[in-house]
Amino acid sequence: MSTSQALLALLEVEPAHGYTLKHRYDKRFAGATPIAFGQVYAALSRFEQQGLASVSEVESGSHPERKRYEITPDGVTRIDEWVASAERPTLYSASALYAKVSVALMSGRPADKVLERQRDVHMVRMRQLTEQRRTASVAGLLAITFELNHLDADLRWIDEAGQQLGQLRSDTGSTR
Amino acid sequence: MRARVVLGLRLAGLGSPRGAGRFGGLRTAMVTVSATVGTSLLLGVAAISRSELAMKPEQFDTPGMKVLLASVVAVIALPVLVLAATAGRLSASLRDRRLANLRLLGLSPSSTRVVSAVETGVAAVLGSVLGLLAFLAVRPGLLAWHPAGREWTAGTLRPSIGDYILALILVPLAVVGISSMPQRLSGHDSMATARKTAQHRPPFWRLAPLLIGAILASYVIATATDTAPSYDQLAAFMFSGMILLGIGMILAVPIFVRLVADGLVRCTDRPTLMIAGRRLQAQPAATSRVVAGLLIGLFIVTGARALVVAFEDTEQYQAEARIQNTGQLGSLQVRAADAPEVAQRARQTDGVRATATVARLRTGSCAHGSSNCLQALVGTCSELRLIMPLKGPCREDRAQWLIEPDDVPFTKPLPPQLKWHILPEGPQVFIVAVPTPEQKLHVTGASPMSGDQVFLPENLIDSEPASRITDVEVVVAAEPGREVTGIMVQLAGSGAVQSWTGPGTYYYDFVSGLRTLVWAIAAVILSVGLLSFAIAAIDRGIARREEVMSLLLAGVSARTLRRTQWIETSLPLAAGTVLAIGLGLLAGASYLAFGRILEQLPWRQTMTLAGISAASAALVAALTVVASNPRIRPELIRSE
Amino acid sequence: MNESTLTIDAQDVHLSYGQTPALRGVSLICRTGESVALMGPSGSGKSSLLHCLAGVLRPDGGQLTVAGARLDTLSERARSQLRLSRLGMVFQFGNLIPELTLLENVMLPLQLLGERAVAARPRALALLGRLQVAEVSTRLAGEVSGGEAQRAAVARALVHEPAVLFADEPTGALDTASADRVLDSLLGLARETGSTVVLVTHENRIAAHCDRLLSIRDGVMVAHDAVTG
Repeated sequence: MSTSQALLALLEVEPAHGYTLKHRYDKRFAGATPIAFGQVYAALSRFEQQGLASVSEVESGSHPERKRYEITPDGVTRIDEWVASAERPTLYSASALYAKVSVALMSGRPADKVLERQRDVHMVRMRQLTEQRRTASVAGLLAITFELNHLDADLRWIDEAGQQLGQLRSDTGSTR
Repeated sequence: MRARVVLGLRLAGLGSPRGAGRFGGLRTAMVTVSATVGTSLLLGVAAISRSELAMKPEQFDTPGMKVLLASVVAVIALPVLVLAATAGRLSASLRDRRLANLRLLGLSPSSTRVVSAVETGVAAVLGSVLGLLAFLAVRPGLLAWHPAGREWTAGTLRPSIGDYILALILVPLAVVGISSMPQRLSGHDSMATARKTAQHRPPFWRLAPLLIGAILASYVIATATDTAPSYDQLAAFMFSGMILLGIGMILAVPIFVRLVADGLVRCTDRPTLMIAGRRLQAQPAATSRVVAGLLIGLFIVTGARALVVAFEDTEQYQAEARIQNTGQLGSLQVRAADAPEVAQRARQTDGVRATATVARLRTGSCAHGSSNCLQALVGTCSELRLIMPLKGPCREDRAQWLIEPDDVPFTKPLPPQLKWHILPEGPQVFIVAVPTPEQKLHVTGASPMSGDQVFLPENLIDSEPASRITDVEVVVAAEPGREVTGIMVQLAGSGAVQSWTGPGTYYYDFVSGLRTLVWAIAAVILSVGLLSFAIAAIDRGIARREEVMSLLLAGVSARTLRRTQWIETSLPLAAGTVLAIGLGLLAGASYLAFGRILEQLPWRQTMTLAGISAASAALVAALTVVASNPRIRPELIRSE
Repeated sequence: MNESTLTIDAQDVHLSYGQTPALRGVSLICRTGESVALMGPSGSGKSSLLHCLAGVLRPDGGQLTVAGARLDTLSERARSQLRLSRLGMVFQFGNLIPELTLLENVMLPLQLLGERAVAARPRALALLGRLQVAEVSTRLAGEVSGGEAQRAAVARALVHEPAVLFADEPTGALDTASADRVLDSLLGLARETGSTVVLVTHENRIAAHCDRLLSIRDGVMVAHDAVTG
C-alpha cells in the first residue's frame, strides 16, 4: 500500500515516465530490493483509472514507456490524507512509517507532526499490549512480547528521527 | 616496573589530581598528615625519654626508670600506629575495588601490590620526612620552654641514630603494610560477614584473660596487707594480673563494641538507635581497631600515673613535698654577733614567714670520725617546730632525743652526761656538759635539716659557754609556695653572711615533672587516638553519602541522620574510654597495694581524666558528624 | 475540573542552577490515583521536574501544589516533613540502608512518623508479602538481589500510604523480566493505596505501564497525550 503512495508522491514532485519513476523510487525508497518495472506500470495505470494521475504526453507507439504521467489535484489530496494519518501500529508498520516521513520531508509537509502522531498511536497500542500481558498465557505472552519489542524499536527510531529533525531545523531553518 | 610506579603515583593524585578520584587527594593528604604527626611524635618522645634518663637523680632506680620510659614510648607508639593504620585503610573498599579492576586488566597480584604500595607509600614517606623536619623545628622550642620545669639540654634532648631510623622506617611501613592487607573485595562478602557478625553469639572465651586479670588484681588488693600470701606469690599475681588486664582489654574490645551494638538494636524502639546499632554490628573491625589503640594508651597511662605514686613515696620527695606546702626553708651561716640583724632583715623581706636562729653542737667523738658521733641542735621549742614537724610536747628544760621515722634507736650505752663541743672547733675546744637525754621527741616527717639526733633547749646552756658560740645559722622559712632561693640570694648579698644553703627541690621537681609528663602523654594519646577516630569516622561518613542522600530525599530529617551517626560514633568510644581508664586504675591499684601504699591511689586525677576523655570523644564525634553529612544541593542531585 | 481531585497542580514552574535554566515554565496536572510517565532526553529537565514536584528543590518561579501543599512557599524543613509523611520516593540505586534487614527498612518510615515497632511490623510484612519478597524479609538489604531490593524499596515508599509516589528510573538497573515485575507491583500497589504515581523513565516499554505520558524537552513540556483507553 505504501509503495503506491510513495510512487504517487514522487509523481507530485515532478511528472515522469515510468522508467524514470522506477529509478527515483529505487534511489529513495527501495533499499536493498529494487521495485519491478511491472509493478510501476501497474500502479501508474491504476492511478490513471482512479483519477489520481493523468497522462500528460504520449509519444508514438503503444509501449507504456511512451507515456508521461503527472499528478492530479485528487492525487495531491490523496497524499495529503495519507501523510496526515498515522499508520496502524502493527508489526509491519516500520517501512510504511519510514516512507511517510521521507515523503513528508520530500514534499515540504511537516515531518515532525508525522512522528508525533505515530508516537501517540504506538503508545496506545503498547499500553494495550502491556495490559494484556498480565493475563496472557505462555503462547500469548510470546506474541505480545514480540510485538512490544518491535513497537519499542519503532519508537526508538521515532525519537532519534525527531532529534535529527530538530538538528536539521536548527541547521538549515527548514525541514526540507 | 616503571609503569606500575607511575600508575601508583597517578592514583595517589600526584601529577594529576583527577587521577585520584573525588576524594583521593584528600585521602593522600590525610596519609601524609598522619605520617608527619606520627614520626614527629615518636622522635619527640624518644628524645624526651633519653633526656629524662640522663638527667634523673641517682637515687631513682635505673631499671625501674627504664621500664617506665620504655612503656612511655610504647604507649605513644600505639596510638601512632593506629593513626597510621587508619590512614592506610582510608576509603578501603573504594581502593580495593579499583585494585580489583586493575587485576581484571591483567596485572598480576604482585604488580597490583606494587601499585598500591606506591600509591600509599609515597605519601607516607613524604609525611615521615616532614615529621622529621617538624621535630627538628620544634626542638629548640622545647629546649627554651622548660616544660614541667625540666632544663633539658641540647646534648641530652636528642634521639639516637637508632631512634631516627626506626621512626622514619616504622611509620611508613605501618601505613603501607596495613593498607596492602587485602580486605573484603565485594560488598556482598562484607554483607555476609556483617550477617555472620550479627548472628553469631559473641565468643565469650575472649573475655577470659580480662576476667582472670581482674580477679588477680582484686586478690592482690584485698590480701596485700595480710601476711598469708608470700611476697613472691603476691608479686607473681600482681604482674600477671596487670599483663592479663592489658591483653584482655585488647581481646575484649570487639566483644564490647558488639555488646554495645546489640544493646542498641534490641533494647529500643527508636529507629535512630537501631540504625546506629546495626551499623556498629556490620563494621566492628574498623571501630575496634581505632578504639583499641586509644584504650591501650589510656590504660597504660592510668597505670603509669599510679606507678609514679611509687616514686612519690620516697623520703626525699616527701620531705620536699611537705615543705612545698608548709614553706621552703633556707639557712644562712652568719657570725653570732650579726645574727639578730640578719634575722631582722630577713623577717622584713617580702615572702618570709618567720626566722629561727640556731646553733649546732657535736659530741667529741665526732672529731675522730667515729660512729659514736652525735649532733645536737640548740634553740627554742618554737624554733625547732619551725624546722621540723614534731609530735607531742617539746620541753624547754631537758635535752631530748630527736627520733625520725625509720630511725634505728641508739643502743650504745651512754654516760649520764654528754660533753658537747662548740662548733667550729678551733685550737681551743669549748665543752658544754649536759645530762644525757632520756625523753624522745618524735619527728613526724623527713626534714631537710635532718642529721640532728638531739635537741638542746638553749636555756640549758649557761651564758659563759654560750658566748663561745661564734657561728650560728639563721633559718629562714618562706611562705608556702614561695621560692626561697631568690630570697637567700638577696639576703646573702650583705657581707655578714658567710654562706647559705637552700632547699633541695630536685627530687620534688623531678617527680612532679614525671607526673606532669604522664598527663602530657595522656593528652597526646587522647589527641592522636581521637584524630585517628575522626579520620575513620569521616571516611565512613563519606562512603555513605549515597545512602544518606537517598534518606534525605525520602524525607528523613537531617537532624535524625546526624543523631544516628553521632550515637554510632561516640558511644563505643566514650564507653570504652571509661572502661580503659577503670581497668588501668585497677592495675595501678594492685601495684600500689603490693607496695603497701594503696591509700595514695590518685583517684581524683584519674576520674578527671576519664571525664575529659569521654567528653572529648563525644565532641570529636559531633564534629565528624558535621563534617561528613551531605545536604541537599542541586548540583549533588544532578550528578546522581 | 474539581480542584480536590488534582493531586499535582504545577503552573509555569521555573528552576535554574545558577545561570543554567533547567525548567522554563512547566505546567502540568495529575489527577488523584493516576499514573504518569515523564519522558525526555538527558538534560531535558525531567529529573529536575521530578525533584521539584517531590519537594526536594524549591522552584524559582511559578506555583506548585502537591498533595494540598504549596511547595513553592514552604521551607526546607516543612518540605522534608511533607516528604516523610505524605510522599514516597524510589530511585534507581541506594534506596535502602544496607546494614538493616528488608523488613527493618520498610518499617523505618512508619517508625520515624512515630509508630511503635509492634504496630509497624505487621504492616510492613504484609506489604512485603504483596510484593513477594516476604521470604527474604529478614535478610540484610545489602545481601539480596537487585530485583528483591527494588521491590522492598517500593514497599518502603508505599508503606505509609503516601498521596504521591515519585519514581526516578526505578527499574533502570534491572533486566527486562525483573523490571516488569517490579513495575507491575509498584503500580498495582499504588492503585490500592490510591496513590498518584509520577515515574521518570527513558524507556518506552516502562512508560507504557502508565495511564499517561508527559514529554519534556529543553525545560518545557511538549505535547502530552490525553487519557485514552
